[in-house]
Amino acid sequence: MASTMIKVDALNKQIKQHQAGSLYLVLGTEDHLINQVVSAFHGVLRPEERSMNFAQYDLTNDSLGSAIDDASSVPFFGDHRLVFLTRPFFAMSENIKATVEQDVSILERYLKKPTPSTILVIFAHTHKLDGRKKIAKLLMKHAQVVDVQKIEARQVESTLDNYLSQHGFQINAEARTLLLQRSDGDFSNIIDNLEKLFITASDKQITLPMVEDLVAPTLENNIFDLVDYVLHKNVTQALELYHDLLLNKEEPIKINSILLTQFRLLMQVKILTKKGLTQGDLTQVLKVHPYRIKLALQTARHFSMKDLKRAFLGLEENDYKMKSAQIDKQLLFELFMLKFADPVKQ
Amino acid sequence: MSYQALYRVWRPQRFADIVGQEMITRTLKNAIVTGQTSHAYLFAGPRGTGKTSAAKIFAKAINCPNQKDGEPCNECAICKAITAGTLNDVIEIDAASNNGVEEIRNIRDKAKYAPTEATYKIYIIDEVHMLSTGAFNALLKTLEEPPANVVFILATTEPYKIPATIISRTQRFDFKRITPQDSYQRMAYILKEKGIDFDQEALKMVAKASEGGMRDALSILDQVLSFSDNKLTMTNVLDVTGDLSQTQIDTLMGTIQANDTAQALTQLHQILADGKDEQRLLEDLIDYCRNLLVYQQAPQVIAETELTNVSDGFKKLSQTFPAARLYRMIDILDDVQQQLRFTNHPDIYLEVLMIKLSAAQNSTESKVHLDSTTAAEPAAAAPDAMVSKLEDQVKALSQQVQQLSKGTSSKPKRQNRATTSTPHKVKVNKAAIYPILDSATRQALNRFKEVWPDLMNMLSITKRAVMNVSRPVAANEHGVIVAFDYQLFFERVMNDQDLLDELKAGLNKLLGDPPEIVLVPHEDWPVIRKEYLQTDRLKSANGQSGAPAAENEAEKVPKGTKKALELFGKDIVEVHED
Repeated sequence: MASTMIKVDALNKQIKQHQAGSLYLVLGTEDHLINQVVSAFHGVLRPEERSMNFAQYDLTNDSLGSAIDDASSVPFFGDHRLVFLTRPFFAMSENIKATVEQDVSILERYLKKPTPSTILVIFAHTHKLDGRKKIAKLLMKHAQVVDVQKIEARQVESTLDNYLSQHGFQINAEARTLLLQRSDGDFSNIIDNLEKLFITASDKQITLPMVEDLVAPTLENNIFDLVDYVLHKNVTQALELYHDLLLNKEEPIKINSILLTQFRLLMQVKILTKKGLTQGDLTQVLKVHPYRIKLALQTARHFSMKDLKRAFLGLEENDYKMKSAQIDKQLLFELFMLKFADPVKQ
Repeated sequence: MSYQALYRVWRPQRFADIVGQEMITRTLKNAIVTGQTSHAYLFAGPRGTGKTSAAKIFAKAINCPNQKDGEPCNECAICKAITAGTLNDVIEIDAASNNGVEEIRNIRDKAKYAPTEATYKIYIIDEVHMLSTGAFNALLKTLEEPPANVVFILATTEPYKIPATIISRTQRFDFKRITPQDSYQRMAYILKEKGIDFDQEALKMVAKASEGGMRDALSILDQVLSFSDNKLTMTNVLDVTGDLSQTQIDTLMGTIQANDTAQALTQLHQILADGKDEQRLLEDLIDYCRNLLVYQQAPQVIAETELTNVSDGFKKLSQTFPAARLYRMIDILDDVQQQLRFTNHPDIYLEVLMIKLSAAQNSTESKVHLDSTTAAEPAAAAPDAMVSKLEDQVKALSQQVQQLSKGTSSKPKRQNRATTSTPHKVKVNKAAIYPILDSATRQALNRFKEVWPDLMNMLSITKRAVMNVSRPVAANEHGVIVAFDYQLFFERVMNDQDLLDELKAGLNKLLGDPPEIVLVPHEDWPVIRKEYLQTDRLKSANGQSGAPAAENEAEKVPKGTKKALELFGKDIVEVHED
């Protein structure tokens, strides 16, 4: 139903050749691409025009009426008027809290008959508009859709390599892996982190210590590592990581319960694969994100049911103790780890 | 002039002074030198790691006209004004007390005006996680369209409380906690500058007590210095931190280990007479037990966190205390710790505790000292104490029997080889073999034998060549013992973690469960098995443990065959069943 779906490159070309249309819908959640789109549109205006011919409205806060009024007026001392509308909650399926009620018919009317000298850009930070709504259908029909969807996992790596070579930087394999891991494979995160790394690496070489120190691991990363250390019976690293987490004021009960869910998933995956379920089946049966299932499958393969069970039961007991006894919560985890890794007790 | 606390006097004034955050300071310096500064920064990290200091230095460096390599000069009017906190263009806000929308709106409005004296207007918002939701939204607006020449630096100890929308608009730096080594060096430097003598061990103690925060370290140091005249000693430090001294606790644990109740009580009274806090004493004891446990498994951790050289008493105790007993002690200590909350007579509980810790173990402690692996046999809960005692005795006896049999063996040649082969660089892991033998079954072994050729086919040619001289000789559900024809290959594979992982993964694919793989050289295998059988026979003689089924299901075979197997080993004797 979309009239046209264009990529960021194509948009850049349009603007450079002064062929910008008057209605755009920027659809997707890849922040890095959105930033490119924003700067591309700003290229339409001369810097001195900016203060007069540019306006941005957050539709959860500002009234749609005044935004469209603005879009309907002619530019001052220039060829174009640039109006950004963000968070069009009324066309999205996500439940976004808005402080104002919007009269959508105003936008409907405008869409049918836009002002030619104005470039109206609507930023929908979502994967897909709510197709059931009339306004969403109209938007898709009348506006040019700029595709800023998340870069898919399998493309992230090649995109990263391109980006690095464009900027003339080199990265070694370990640093690259860690960067991908700590950025959750999310391209916009990677770009944010690269900005810091570029500044640090004055000799254009990105090394492992730089990534270690400058790219902060997320809690999920940490928990993931922690599960790994526990299963590998790597006492030293497990305890160090645990101390770091506590210093970052993570709640021991929270850490414990995340560990528990992770082990539970590993066991479920292990048992069900034995029964012959595939990755796709698992996603459906367990109702868990496919990526987690994929990782769980990889991890579960390396460990025996016995170890998983032991770890799960140990953590379960810890959970009870943490909530009932007065014993130091940190100590509980340490004792669990030591008992678990004790070679004789297996 | 009134007294200024150490951490204020010695607040870092240059990036180079910030301890333990080299990569971050380097990035900030580079950013200033190359003019690639961001308009918003987020400094996250535990307290006392240099966030606010870095922010202030950044404010100076970016504005200092004499800036060199990203460092401020600290001499010019602007630098001095920022240090004194009098420059109008550098605004420090404590979000903990200014957390409302109004305050942030105020910032937003003022941020529009260009800086007056400096080139950049810097807003340092401390404890930014305390802002209310409304305030965050107001701040977000400013961060979305930042005015030129304004830099926001947000500092926080709890980054996860900050909305993702804010984080994604800032350049985030995570400050690491400061290692005891780093804070030790910094304090040593400060004390040297002040001309104060110090006892190295004492200073290490301070570094340790600070838990990764430089400000905490300096505060403790400040307190200690206040009642020590020009010399920092261990006693001063212990008085401030309230900890037991290393020797005190070493001896106390020593007496407990030796089951010397009387001595333990004397020790306790002495410690209490010194005015140590009861709760603190318990915490120290729990800590110590924990450290012993950790040391038994991961000595590096202790070396790193304790900073000091591990004391000899501690090392000795870590070898003599069985892990199971330490777990029990921690349980007891934990109980008492809770009882202490509800009593007016803590000393009574502590005395009873000492008796429990030292006397209760008398029955379970066997007189023979065992090496730590055998001593830590499963016996976690008290009812198992009896069993563990018996097991220990069995182990000890079996070791004696082994030695006896070695002496009288009719085959001195083989025995010699066995004894000479143990001191090899690569040792056979007996602790791993025995549990497998305990529950070994013929079925399990067959299972492994069946898939072995498939496994070999999964390996690369070079690896297959190495593994071709190997075959499984015993197995249970979860583990397999693999014998190698040649010592050389055995050693090579033992040291090749990659290959071991590959084997494990391969077996997992074939059997659906990654087994424990234990390697033995083939020539040692009969000896090991024989040793095991002897241990085992003793066990059954004592009425313990179910009958074992090693490789050849010992009890099912006729007596004569059994004897033959024992003497010659499975690989020489072929049993034909009719």
